[in-house]
Amino acid sequence: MNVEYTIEELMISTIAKRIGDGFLVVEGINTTLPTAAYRLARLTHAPRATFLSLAGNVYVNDPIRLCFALEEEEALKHAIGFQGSEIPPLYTTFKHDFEMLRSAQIDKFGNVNSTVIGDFSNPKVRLPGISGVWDVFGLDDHIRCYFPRHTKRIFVERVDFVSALGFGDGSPQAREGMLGSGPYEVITNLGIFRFDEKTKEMKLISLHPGISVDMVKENTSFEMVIPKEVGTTEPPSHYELELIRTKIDPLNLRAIESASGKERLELLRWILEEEKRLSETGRWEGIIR
Amino acid sequence: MGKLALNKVRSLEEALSLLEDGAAVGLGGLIYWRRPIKAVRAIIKKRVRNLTVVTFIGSIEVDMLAAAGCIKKVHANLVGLQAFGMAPNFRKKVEGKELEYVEHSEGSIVLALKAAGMRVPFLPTKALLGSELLKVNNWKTFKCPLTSQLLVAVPALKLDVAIIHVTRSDENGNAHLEGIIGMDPELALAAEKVILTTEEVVSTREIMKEPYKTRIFSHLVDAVVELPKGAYPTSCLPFYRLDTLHLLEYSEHAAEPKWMEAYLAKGGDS
Repeated sequence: MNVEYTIEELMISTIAKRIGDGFLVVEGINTTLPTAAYRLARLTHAPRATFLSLAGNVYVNDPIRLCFALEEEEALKHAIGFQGSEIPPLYTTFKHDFEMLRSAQIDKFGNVNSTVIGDFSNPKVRLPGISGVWDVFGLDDHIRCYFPRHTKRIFVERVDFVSALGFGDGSPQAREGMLGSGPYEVITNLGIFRFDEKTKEMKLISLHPGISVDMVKENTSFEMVIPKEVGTTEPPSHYELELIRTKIDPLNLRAIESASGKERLELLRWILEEEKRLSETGRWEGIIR
Repeated sequence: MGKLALNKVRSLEEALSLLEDGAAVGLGGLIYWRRPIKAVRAIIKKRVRNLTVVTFIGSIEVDMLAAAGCIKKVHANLVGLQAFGMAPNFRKKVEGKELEYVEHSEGSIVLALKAAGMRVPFLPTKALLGSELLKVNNWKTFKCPLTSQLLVAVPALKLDVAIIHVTRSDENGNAHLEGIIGMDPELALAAEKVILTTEEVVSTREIMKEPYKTRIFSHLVDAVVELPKGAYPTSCLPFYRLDTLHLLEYSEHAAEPKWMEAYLAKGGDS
């Protein structure tokens, strides 16, 4: 049976499958797809997963709806508890189970950059910053990244600046002295990728339905390792799509991550106005007195 | 008389006399939640210059200060308007070398503040190794004297003043934070002087009704300013939520100098 779905919905479903029951999932800054995936996992196979929301470092116990204006209130309404500066040590001591990270660039050895495009001392663009990705890359095992738009500008031969070290130049000494085993998996709108155990180069694991090896090559600036056997990513089920569209993200925040320019702005404005209308007519209750 | 006994309620103007040109100032809240926006507007009006701003994920408040030419340096783990885009004035000034951006990690900004609060020159971490940011920030690695393992020394970030917008406070500066906490307790400990702006000044008995919400204590506080809507357009629960359409408008126009000038000249309540 053919079920129509968007690439964001497939990515949400793919990420959700990696969240085990009882996992502590950490939310990144403005990472909509993994946030939706947590909710999906929670409503399907992982009923005892907990989510550490960026909206105030709140342990959230319910699969709340995706939103902008009410995000903080939704997190607080469903909180087990709050943390402040206890969070950064969480990375080192009480390891969290799952986080999906994103950056402006990634290279074939899994080094990431969210600092500058161009030369550091004379940049074309000064990016907002790498934030917690820097901590996680230095400490954790099984680091996972996601990119809603797999393009040549993002998948580069060598990052313009190493904000956080993956496997460096691929040599065995590159991560000497560091904790954690480095990046593990990359999920994009084209497929699923991991790193070769020996050479540490990024390699294709699975193509999403309808995507060819050539499309991956065309959108990657470095030579991707392409094994003989490549899997096909499982599409989202009917039930998953229904949950995503009606319970998890009825306002379609998921489309924002891969949209750009005017289309993105219009979508964002529509969502914000809709949120406002829903809260003003009492159909979405926050905690404002 | 000890600090605990003082009535510290001041006007915003009086409180900001603690902030001098060239000071290192920590701003409370994070992203677009509970940021001290009214205090930031007053700093801009007062034309304070050459500030070093320290904050956990800067957004509109850093962008406003950058546009107004109040700051020379920012220590933050990220500066941007998140879903609403980049912080255009901040970015322009950094790219034009009018403003220095010391990029931290989420962990290092906290360690830097904790180190200042503990009055030690640095705190060590096992994170951060391998990044080129260590070189450009001039942060050192060293061998642990106990185990010989390689560690990064995150330098202390001592603040002259911390400005934190709180949900409610008594006259002495015992303050409730509802919801998000951010790094506000660390900012207060790292600072020489602490200014609280608060949605309401209440009695100490009122604070005592919900003691688990008290996150800032009076022995650290120097001034308490009653400032309803002091965080607007960012949020201050349970009083008001983030005004997303305001932020959207800001992100669309903040790069236009004329619009920005008019925006900074406004009162800021709507």
